[in-house]
Amino acid sequence: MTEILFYGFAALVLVGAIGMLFNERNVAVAGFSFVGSMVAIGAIYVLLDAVFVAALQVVFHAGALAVVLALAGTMLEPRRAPVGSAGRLGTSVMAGVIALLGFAALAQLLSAGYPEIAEIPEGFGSVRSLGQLLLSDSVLAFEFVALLLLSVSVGVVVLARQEAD
Amino acid sequence: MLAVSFKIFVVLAVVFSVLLPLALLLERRHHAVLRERIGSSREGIDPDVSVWEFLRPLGSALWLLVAPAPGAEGPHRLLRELAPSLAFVSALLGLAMIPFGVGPYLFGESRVSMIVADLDWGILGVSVALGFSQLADVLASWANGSSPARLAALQGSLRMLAGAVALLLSSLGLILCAGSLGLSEIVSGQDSDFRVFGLLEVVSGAGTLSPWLAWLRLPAWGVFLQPLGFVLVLRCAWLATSRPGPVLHQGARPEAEALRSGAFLTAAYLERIVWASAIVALFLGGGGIPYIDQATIIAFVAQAYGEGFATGFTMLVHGGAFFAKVAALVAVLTFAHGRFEAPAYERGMNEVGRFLLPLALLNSLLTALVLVWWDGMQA
Repeated sequence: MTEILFYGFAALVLVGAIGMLFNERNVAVAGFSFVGSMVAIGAIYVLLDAVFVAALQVVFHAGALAVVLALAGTMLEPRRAPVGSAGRLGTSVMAGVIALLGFAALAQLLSAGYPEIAEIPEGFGSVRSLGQLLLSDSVLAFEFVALLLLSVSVGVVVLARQEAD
Repeated sequence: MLAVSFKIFVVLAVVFSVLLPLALLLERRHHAVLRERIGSSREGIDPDVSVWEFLRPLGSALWLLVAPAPGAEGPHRLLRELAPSLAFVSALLGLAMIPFGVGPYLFGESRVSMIVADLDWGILGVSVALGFSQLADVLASWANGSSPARLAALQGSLRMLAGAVALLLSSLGLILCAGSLGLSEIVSGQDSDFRVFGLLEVVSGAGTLSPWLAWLRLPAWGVFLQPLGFVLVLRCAWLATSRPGPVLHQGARPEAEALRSGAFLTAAYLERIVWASAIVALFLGGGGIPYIDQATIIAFVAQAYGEGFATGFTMLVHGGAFFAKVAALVAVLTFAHGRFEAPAYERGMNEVGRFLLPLALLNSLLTALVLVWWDGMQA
């Protein structure tokens, strides 16, 4: 049952991602495909017993980005996205390299064989355990994310001020 | 499964048969009185509120159902048809995460809780549900393709988002006090009372003050532990749920869109009920009775009628208290909406950004400092 659900949601993830790629002219449809993809990833997290991570996934990616897309899509409504032909080749090469690297990493992981499935500890996936993990083992990543968000907010202020002047 | 279905039934029954008609009734009747547009009295209809008045929203709903069906214009018909359900479903999701009693209640071996979905990140879920339900407005107006509606919906969604963020930040102090994001834990933590001068005794180090001061006790509700947070959240709720005017979802033919507009307005009232329930659960002790905690009621009733009956009775009392508090708060929010003019969009957002958010951050910072200091004192 879990496997069937996993393959179903994985297919949804792919469908959403492809739908986003092939609807670059229509921002709204692309946005909703993206949201669908993210919700499906959240469902896979639920299958992995990480309920809180799933909730965060849906909240931040599906919810917050949906708001951004709604704003951009409804206010700007780009009938035709300005895609120049000049940057096209470089982008494609870059995307191809990144995809190859991803596949190489995946192949290496798979060739090492699946690890043993560990027993799920008590309180796994709860807010408390996630918080403890963030502030103990993963504190470096946590601080980097904080720095990233700080720089983002500074950038937003700079951009907004430029527009006001 | 049966228990969850029953809980859903109870919540839906109370919300749709009491709270929603109440909100609509208050809006219609008392706003009319406040704004001196007492139409029905001049028509010769008895202006006093009667029981039959509760049937009026039902009549409106029936009228909306039989009103002309909407036309099939526009390429995004499916989104337009789906949007009202999205608004409804998200608001109802928010309700599902709010406990409507105190709990947990023990019947022998089995534990019963008065909450549909007991999540340990409940407060987060409620604010997300509130945000999502506004997103449905954006969806509908975008699918409709009318610019004024689109602008109104966008402003409304930003208003609601600001409100939801402010709700989270203002209740951060309370979350720190309770040590949990789960609403059922927050509520059951409030089912006790504390001595008003207890903190003062510890701070001054003077030992126990005169004994009659020890009689001064307050319920351990969020409103007494976090008064500033309560005021901020109340203001957020008011800003988020009061709209400056009718939000237009219709295109060229307003009457053809009756059902959809009605559904959106009803969803807006539902949002007000969700806000009120969240505030009651966070700051007003949920279903708790002040000064009489759950164990006391059960012990008292159990003397005469036995343990099982006493627990069931307590559940009823707590549920009644919760919905009564929610109804009172809905009335307060509705009156505030009717009596005072809602600030225009820019002013409202300015107030959130320059006033509510900094105060909320300050409140949580102070709370954290006091808690750390208190832990140091205890150690």
